[in-house]
Amino acid sequence: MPGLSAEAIAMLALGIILFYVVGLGLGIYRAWRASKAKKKL
Amino acid sequence: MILEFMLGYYFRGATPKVFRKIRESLEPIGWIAIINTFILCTYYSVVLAWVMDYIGLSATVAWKTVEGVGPTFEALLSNSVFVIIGLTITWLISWYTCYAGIASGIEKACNFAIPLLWILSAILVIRGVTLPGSDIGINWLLTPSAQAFSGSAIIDAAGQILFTLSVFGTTMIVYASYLAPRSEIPNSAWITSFANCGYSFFFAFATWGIIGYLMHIMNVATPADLPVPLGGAGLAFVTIPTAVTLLPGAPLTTAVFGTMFFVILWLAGYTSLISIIEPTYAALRDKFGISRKKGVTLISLLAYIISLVYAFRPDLIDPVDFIVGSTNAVWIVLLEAIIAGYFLGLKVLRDYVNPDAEWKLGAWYDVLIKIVTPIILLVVLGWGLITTTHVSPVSILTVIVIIIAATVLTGFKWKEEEKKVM
Repeated sequence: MPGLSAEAIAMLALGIILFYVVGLGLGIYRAWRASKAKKKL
Repeated sequence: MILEFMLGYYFRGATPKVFRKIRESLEPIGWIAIINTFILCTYYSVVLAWVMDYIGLSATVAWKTVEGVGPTFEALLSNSVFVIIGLTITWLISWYTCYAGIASGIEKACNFAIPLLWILSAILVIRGVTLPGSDIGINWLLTPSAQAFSGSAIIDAAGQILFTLSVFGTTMIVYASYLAPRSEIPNSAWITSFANCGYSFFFAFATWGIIGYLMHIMNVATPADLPVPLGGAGLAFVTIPTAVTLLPGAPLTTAVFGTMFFVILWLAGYTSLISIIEPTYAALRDKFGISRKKGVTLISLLAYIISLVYAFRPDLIDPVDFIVGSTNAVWIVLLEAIIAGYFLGLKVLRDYVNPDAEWKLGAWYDVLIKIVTPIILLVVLGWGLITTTHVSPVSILTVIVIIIAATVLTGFKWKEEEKKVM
């Protein structure tokens, strides 16, 4: 998609960071850390 | 989402039981939420029936040419027999899923449907963003527009996000009530919310890539100039079929991608439908001690019979949806926040979930639920209701039916109480 405007690219980056990095990524990391801690117990 | 998870997990029941345990006089509000959800499934299943019919229509490219797309949808709306067939199949599958139980029915269905949904969606997104002109549509998707803000748009958006997250005081409470003891609540709610919103963001690229292709083919400057609808049922049943009819490699690609789109839509709708049947059953189980098999059969049968009305009168769906799917969803969540925040006290819930939580809820959470959420929802509701033009006699009748049904259901004795008396 070479025709994306700078504003659209910025919103795309914001969406990826918000939904997948901060959102899902952090949630899955927390879940992984919790399961690791449970295994140690 | 976190609040509904906590309420279900703490009180282990459906909304009327939860609210009654907080304060006996609050039980009718719980029933209002349940009746609202029940009405939702009566017309939602009709939309799913259209989708199911369109799986067949797409596979055979029944509309043949672009000119045939609109008349095909109009013919479907006026052909009740065809809709009733789709409705019957949809209800039979949904009934059996809930009838089979949590692990053998709902869990199995989701384990099958959700991965399939993601796989098919990924294929459609790849096709959407690689079409010529897809960047035009995606630019429209990603460029904020101040003109798009209006009271009605905001109330629709608020209703939509609550609906898509299933946060309307019933589904998530009941699903959370089935969680095992010592479950992680705040982070589970976090993952659920972002998985859902992440999917919506992802699939938007398929839809808007295809719309961009349509704009490119039809040589129009803005989506509003397209001779096809960009919202509601028209987007799914007219715009997408029009776009896939014009795909390179048609009619084979029309059949493949058209069918794929409607299978995705059906799977998404089906998992939602079972999630709105379950809380109605759970509420009846809590109050009357009814068995799953009897309860689910009774609810499905009643909802199926009512949904036949919409099969003959699809024009009733919009005014009912404005009340049930948008306005009431916001009202119920507002009341839920006030009840949990001021009548129960959020510290009770936080203290209950925090020991097992990877992400602890602090006092900031109380401020969010007691002050920020009610203010935002009141503004959304107020603005939306002042500026909306959607209110009709059908909408008012829907409100009256919900209040009467909730009052009648509250009036019945609880099974447990009857046993105590005896």
